[in-house]
Amino acid sequence: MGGHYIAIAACVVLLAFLCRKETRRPNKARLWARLPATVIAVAGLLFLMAPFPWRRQVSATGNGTGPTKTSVRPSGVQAIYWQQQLNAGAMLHLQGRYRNSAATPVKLLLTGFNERLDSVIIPPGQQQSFELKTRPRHIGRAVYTFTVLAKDTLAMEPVPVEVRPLRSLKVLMLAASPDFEHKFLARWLAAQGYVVAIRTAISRDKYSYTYLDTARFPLQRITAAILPAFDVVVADAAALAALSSSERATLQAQVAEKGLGLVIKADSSMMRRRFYDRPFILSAAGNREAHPQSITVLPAGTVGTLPAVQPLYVRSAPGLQPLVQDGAQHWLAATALHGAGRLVCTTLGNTYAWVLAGREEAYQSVWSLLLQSAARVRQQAAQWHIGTAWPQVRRPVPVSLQTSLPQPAAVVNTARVSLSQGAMLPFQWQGVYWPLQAGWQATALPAGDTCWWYAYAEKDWQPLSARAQKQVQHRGMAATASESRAAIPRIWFFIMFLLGAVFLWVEEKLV
Amino acid sequence: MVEQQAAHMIHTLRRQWQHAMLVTRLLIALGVALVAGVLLYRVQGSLWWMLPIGAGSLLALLLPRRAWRIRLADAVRYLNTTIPAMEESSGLLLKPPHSLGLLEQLQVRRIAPVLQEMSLPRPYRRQLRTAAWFFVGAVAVSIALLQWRPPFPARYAPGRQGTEQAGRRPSLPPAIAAATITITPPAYTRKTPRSQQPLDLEVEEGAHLHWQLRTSRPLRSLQLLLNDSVRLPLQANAGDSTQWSGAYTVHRPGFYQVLLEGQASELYKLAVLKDRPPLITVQSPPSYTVIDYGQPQQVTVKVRLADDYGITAAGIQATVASGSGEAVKFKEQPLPFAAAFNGTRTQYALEKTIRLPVLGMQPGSELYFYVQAQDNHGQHSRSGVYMVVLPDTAQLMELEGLANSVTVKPEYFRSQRQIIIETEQLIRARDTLPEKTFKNRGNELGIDQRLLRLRYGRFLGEESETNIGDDRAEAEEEHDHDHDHDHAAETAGDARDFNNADKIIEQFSHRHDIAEDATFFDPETKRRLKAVLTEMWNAELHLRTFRPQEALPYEYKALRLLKDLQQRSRAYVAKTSIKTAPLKPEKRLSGELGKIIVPVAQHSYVQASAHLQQLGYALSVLETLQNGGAVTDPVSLQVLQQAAQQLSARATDAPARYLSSLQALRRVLAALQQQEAPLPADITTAAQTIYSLLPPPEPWPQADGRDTGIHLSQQYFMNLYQSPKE
Repeated sequence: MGGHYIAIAACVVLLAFLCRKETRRPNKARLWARLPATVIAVAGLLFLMAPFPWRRQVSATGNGTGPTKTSVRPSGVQAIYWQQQLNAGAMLHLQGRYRNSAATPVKLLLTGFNERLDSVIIPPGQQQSFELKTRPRHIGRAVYTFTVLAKDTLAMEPVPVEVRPLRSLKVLMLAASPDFEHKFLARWLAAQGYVVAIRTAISRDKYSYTYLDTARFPLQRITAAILPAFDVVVADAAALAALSSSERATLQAQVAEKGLGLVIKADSSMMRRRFYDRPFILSAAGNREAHPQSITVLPAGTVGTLPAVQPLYVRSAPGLQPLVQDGAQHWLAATALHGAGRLVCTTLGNTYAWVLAGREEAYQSVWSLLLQSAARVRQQAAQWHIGTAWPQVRRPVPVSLQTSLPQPAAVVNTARVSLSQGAMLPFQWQGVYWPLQAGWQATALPAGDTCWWYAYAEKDWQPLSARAQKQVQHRGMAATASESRAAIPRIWFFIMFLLGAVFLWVEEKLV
Repeated sequence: MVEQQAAHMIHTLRRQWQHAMLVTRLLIALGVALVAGVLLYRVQGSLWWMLPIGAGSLLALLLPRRAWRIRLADAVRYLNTTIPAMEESSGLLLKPPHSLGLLEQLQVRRIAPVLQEMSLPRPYRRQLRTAAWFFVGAVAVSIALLQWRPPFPARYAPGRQGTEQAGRRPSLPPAIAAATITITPPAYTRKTPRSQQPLDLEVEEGAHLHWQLRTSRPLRSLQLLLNDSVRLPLQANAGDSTQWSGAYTVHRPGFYQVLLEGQASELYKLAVLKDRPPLITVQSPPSYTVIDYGQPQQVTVKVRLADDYGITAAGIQATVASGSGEAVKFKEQPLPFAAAFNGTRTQYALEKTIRLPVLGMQPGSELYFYVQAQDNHGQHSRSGVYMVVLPDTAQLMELEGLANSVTVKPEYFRSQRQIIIETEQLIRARDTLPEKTFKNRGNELGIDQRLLRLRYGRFLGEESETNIGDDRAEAEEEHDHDHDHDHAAETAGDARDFNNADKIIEQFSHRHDIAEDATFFDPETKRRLKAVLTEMWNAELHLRTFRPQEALPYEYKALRLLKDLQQRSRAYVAKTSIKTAPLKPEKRLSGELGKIIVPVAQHSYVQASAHLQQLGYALSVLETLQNGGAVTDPVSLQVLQQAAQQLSARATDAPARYLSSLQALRRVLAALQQQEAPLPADITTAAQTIYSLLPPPEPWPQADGRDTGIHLSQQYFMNLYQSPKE
């Protein structure tokens, strides 16, 4: 800032000197034009020299959500991210970047429940990405601690995490013949309290029905009355092929319009004629001998091996996402979108061997992925969104809500928050809440689930949270006038100076 | 008089000043010691540091410059400077009157009353006051330090916190003035009764407990609550409702509480030391023993027995199996040890020699035995089963096994068997034969044995000797040759061999180590063959030294090993499967199915992980409490109560491990119910235990809830998505 004042002072002195010279000139002709020209020239010179104070605002006016660039980067956490809401059983990944400009290594530590959960060491004088992992064992809200340790504690930051309780699936299985694969899958799901109904063809128009953790209901025909109750249908290709055309149409409508998931256990009979097998092109491997096949779950990694005889592969195609691969990156399971729902095609037919061998974790990881990728997305009455990554105490926190309710009345920690309806999207509602205390904040509609979010104390996660806070403020300011003024390029000031100076020079010559 | 009094006042001033000085220094030193000591106590946990620090700082304050030594001159100077009326001549007051000059005497007379009139000044007062304030401040600071807790308690020292918690002994409940528990261990331990004051108990299984509690006030009722389930009312002594007693015999571990008129106390541990069954270690024989022909027919059993309280009985249970096939017979008989068992000793080292003929064992029979022992609590234990085998030499001679087998070289075995038969013949005929014939036949048998050994040796690639000086062996060799090459007609003098150079070279050369022969067998077979050869060597030695009786065991052993070898080379070929008639696909699934009922199965599974889920919720509630959050809703309290029930069930099984955390959780619950803030240490203890109880969670497929079912979005989607016709 000092430079600005020196430049302004110098220009004022220069202006005074020049004006005095102009007025003292014996020839008083065109004095009224010479004085403004002097002022214009000096002003142009000043603006050329001194940067405007509002120029900084221009660089900081971003869209707030993306990563921001700052030139000065002190030692410390440069960026951090973790998922605040996790499903039960999911892994908590704390990912970020740390710059250690000190001469000693720094240890980053994730602790919770008085246990050291994970740690990583950043060598001196380096900037590194890091990832700390743990599987939360609690259900509900908890605050873990992220600690930076050198010789003493450099920083200790809260890592709030909410673990949602297990929301079980309802699974319908259609089998063309009794087999172990269905039996083990059903038993595995039912033991965890999942609702499973199985229809197994045992002869011509004869079915065996099994209902696990549910009451009996007619399953003779697959109708539009049955399917909405389920989240996923697991069927082998032969069972799907044996469905009547009306049943198939019902199933397709459910998948495409209502988002029902369909897991197809493929065999070589799939002809790519039906809606469910059209996206998937299968090819059989040349290897006719039994050999162990390593199974890789994406993105988690290799989970184990299975014996395979001439396995089927799903060929890579646009619109497909691989889920399970073998060691040579052949796809063994893939998913495709079909309308609102998802299709999963798997060629694995003997995963039950893992259960028999006591390798439950491999079985679990494969089938969790397959069913999870297919499962229907449940509808919620309201969905909350917190407008900033670092909600801070005693700062405005934008809160937005998506709901189809006509007049939502939001309550945050017993305080009522008035919401304004979005002009473009009538189901979007916005409001601002000022948290009074750091910690978990409960946001809810009078009737509906509570959404919890965490308000950080001012000292938490500096300087990341301060940067984010600045963005929030500037987002508000961005709409004001500064932008148009800031857009003036320097050339105009130069032209201004040139015009003034040229006029004065020419005027002297005119005499 | 006046002068003397004034001098006395100066002395008094000096003395008081000096005392005040000392007190000042002492206060400062105490203050420093207190603050430093408390700081060190926070770091190290010991208060004894205060003593050396106090002494050190006192010395440091007193020693330099000897500041505390106030001299009379100091007092005089002080008076001179502070009281102008003294006119700079207070020193005169101290001089003896007779030594004063005239002017001095006049001056003394002038100033002495002045001093008398005014009260004694107190130059030390300010210092004293400062020191006192310092001391008070130090006390306040140290109290604050003692009370202060770090904002994140024990986050980085979970272990220490845990041990402190575990090390804390629960005290007596309020209103209980004294407690005496008499523990009468059960008879089998042969321990004398003992008594203890603390209510935490660790007793032997089956011990009889007798509580004697003295309350500080008369009570209406006093009960013990065992494992949250059994109530044990205590009896008041006649006419005195402050003395209570009750008895209980412990059979299972757990915990208990004292109920004072229905009000429950803390939990107390009731750990049970179980009596272990006797430990039996058999040092010899090995689990499978073969007693070969000629070895002494006896087995020495060496056993070590150990028990925690005493062994009342021990013995060997022997079973003899004799006969073969369907005619096998078993005979059981117990064999006692020589030692006397009276239940007092806890360690025994026993030895017993079993003579097999005494048990009625013949060649071919087997002995199975195990050792069993009983301790004085009536618990049995037994060792594994050991086996001793007397091989049947007669069975080795049978031809049956050979006739069926895919034998490699049957004549070799016959040879060994033949040698045995002839050896036995020779022994039987020894008395009737003349000495020379006996020796001759023995020697000949030895040569036979040697030839046999050489033949086997060839398979190991050993040097193939050609029978030095024994034409019988030559013939044998040739005969063997014929057999091998299946040239029955071929003889040494065959005319067709006349030009056979190989044959002629073979006749006159001495061939070593035929490399081809050495590759016939795998190493395991070779190892066994070598063992056979060793036995044959020994047999030959004894035969050639005319001791056929001693050669016989070696011959038998060689035969047995050969038989093993032969059995080993047999292969098992499974039966091939039957052929089924081919299926006719056009007839498949064309039957009448009308009468087939539809199988319907319905099961309800008990969700195994439900209780773990409750613990997971409890963990999160405790975490909220730990971070200073308030928990007031009834749902959270219920979650904690359920967690406490689960902990209680576990504490019943392992009180030493879970009791402290159960207590902590109950204290947390009690505090919450009374709207108070629970102690952070209790929350930490409970959360730690619950965390350790929860297994690492597994991923399960779940329903995601994101979509809000907004009509506008759905319409938009349906316009984008045009359902393709199938």
